[in-house]
Amino acid sequence: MASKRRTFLKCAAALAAGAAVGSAASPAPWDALRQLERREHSPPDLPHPPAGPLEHVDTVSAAGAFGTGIRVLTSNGKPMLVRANPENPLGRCGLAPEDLEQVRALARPGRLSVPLLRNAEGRLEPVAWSKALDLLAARFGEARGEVLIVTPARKSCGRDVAAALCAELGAVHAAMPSEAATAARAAALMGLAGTPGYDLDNARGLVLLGADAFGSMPASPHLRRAWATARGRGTKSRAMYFGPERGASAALCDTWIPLAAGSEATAALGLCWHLDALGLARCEASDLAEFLQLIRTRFTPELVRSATGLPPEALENAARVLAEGGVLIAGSASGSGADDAAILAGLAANALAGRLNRPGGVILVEGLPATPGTPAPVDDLLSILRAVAQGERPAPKALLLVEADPLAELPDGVLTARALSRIGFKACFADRLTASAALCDLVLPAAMPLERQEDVRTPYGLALACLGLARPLLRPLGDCRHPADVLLEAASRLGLPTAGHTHQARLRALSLALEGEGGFVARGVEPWKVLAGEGRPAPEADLWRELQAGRLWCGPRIRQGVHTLGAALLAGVAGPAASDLERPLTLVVRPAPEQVIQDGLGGAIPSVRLNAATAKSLRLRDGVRATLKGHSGSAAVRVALDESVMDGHAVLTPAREQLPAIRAAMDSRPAEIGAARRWDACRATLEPA
Amino acid sequence: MSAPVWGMVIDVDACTGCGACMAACGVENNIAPGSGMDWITLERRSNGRAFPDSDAAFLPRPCMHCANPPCVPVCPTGATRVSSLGGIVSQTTPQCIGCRSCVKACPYGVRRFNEREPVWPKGMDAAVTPFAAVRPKGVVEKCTFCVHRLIARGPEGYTTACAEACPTGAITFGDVSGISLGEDMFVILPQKGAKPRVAYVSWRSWLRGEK
Repeated sequence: MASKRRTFLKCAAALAAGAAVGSAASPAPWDALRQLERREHSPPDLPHPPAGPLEHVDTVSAAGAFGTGIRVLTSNGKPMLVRANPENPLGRCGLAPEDLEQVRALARPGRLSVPLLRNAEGRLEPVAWSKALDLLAARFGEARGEVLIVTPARKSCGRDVAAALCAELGAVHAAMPSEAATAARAAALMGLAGTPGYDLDNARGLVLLGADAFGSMPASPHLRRAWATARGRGTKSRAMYFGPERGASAALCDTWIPLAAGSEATAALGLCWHLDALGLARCEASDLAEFLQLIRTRFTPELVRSATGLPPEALENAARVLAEGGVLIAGSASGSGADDAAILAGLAANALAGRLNRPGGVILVEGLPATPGTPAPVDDLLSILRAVAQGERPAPKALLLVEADPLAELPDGVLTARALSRIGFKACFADRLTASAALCDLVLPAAMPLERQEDVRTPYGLALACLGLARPLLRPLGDCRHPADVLLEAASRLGLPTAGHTHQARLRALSLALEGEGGFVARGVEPWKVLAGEGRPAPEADLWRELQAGRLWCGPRIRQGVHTLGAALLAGVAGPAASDLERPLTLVVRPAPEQVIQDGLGGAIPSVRLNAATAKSLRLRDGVRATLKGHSGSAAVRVALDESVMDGHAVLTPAREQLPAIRAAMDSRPAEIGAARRWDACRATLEPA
Repeated sequence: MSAPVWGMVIDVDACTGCGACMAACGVENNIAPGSGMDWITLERRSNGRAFPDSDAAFLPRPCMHCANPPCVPVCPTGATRVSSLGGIVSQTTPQCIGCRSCVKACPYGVRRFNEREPVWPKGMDAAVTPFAAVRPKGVVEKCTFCVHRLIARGPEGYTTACAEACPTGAITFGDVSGISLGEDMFVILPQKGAKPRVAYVSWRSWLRGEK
């Protein structure tokens, strides 16, 4: 008995010792100890950093309008942190806040994760995708030609899906207005094909006429870095900013010359007068004589001074900067409804100085090959909505907003809201309940960047055609889906041929089409040097693989062609608007960069910045509440004195939540040239609340 | 060759105030979104004159990592000290008792005291990095010059997240041991005697004169 007991004790001791040694060798108990230790040191509600190894994936950011190359650090396959990808030359490794914060933005509070349908009581409630798709297909099937689909301004294969669907339904496809579309229209008026891009990488001087090249322009992340690198300290490159506010674009320039918003065309044509007078005109356009006659009679220094207040020496200096290897960019802040005439006059000035389609000047960038059967959208959405609101056009029976928010992005907010209220069925894709989504009957949750595949094309302002591919790195949150996939499924239910080509197939087809375009993959090559004449690398055999690896396709190309200076059209430029005693303020509205979580200002009333002299003339003091009044609407604001704003102007940088209220106080007006409407220098008044 | 001394030179004339430095710092160093605890901030300074004679500039303001830091001698627990890693002024949060003596001593106002626990919305904790501890309520935190990068990869190519992300390259980070203040270069509050290792460059005389 005793022997058995001893044997048992020996065996038990051996087993215990073995278990102890085995446990010590296994990582599990040590990991458990570490976890315990962490919990001891940190309160349980604090997040813990990932314990697994870190890896990285190279891709392209679809978070902003730019498309920077990014390197996403992942832990256990999940994105954790975004850094710049040094192998992608676009942006020269500079990143914008929205690129950096996109991993956090995936878990943004208020993000939609399921489809929502408005019930009989008027509340939005969750609904299954199958029911949402049935409803969407049924309404589209009923309305057919009376459907209006609104897509973002940025071109993409996803937008092509919407365009194809519209073409097959006979529906109207409208894109949100953008400065890129305005600039392309202005170039077309001169007989040029493509969208203007500005080659700051090779430029030796810069003149900005209202254009926000270092702030809100889509290509600004690259333009900022390019200019800051090129000018350096102590070099002779000069930059001049003419505009109503000392903002981000003025910050990078050597001089700020106050210029009233809406006067850019007059200033550009005044600059042309100096080019001519200094003998710096180098142009052979067919209407040169007519153009010179125009500027010599109507845009003399005295006339331009009386119209804009600009001293002649400022424009003379700007003319020299332009002629000595510079580039001129005219426009306004992105999304501010720039006038065709301003951009046309700016292009004409570049052309007159011989800076058109030259390295370091303005380059006309051709679009990427379009998918067959996808007609271009109409670009007068504002006119359509105004006509619907005013009863001049029948309201569409169904509306689909594809990641577009007209109430936050368009002026005439009161009319836009009225137009939306007249549409029978409204659906939208959105990642959160935007102002326009809140009015819809069906809200479909859209996947966000890092969750979806997206082609990111040439941002407006860049001087070379390019394409990057944003890859999905994780499964979309909840029931979120890519709008293109949903539209294709809706097309399938309607029996339309569009459904035959998946979104992925369209992306691959674009990649294949680009292989024959003569471009190259920017690997170890700076494409702007190729633009300036350096050797062009050989095209890649498998472009799709390169795009998936986060590399950039570039097609720098300069095509010379016959063009005019648009003299006949510019003759109609009437100059700055006359002063309006009822609405004495000119508004400059530039939406603030989005924050993942609002810092408490989102719900507060927006600040309006104006200088002390302007405030005094309106009997306003710093910090008081006031009412901003336009022709059709008004908004509550708080006055903030800022001497960086020129006389007679008010600058607003509202958060996204504050935009619809501000848009209600903004009025559009017909453009000087063409049928589109502009709202770049809309007038308002400010009264004490 | 002498050991490097880490510091920054910020070109104020190239700063557009875009906020990329703040965003890059926040995501790298686990600053809770919307908490206002940013380790680098943007200060807008103006010359105080009326339009059209007005002028304004943005000054990115990280911890100055002073050579003679006023915050170090006042810390009762040794939670903050001048480290041997190129003079970086460290902050060891587990040793911090939250007395806030360093906050009072710092002439630059770049130290932050956690009044409350950081809030991470559901799902956003997936973006927490292993590079910096998540600081609890009751401790002081500040910029570390992204010292985790130096520890992980060594001095070769060492730079901070803010300098790396700056879209205009306004922030230059590196060894400042051989740098002397030039005509356009200045430091903030030199009269405090802290000898900051973050210097600024600007052609604006009014900005340099405001030291």
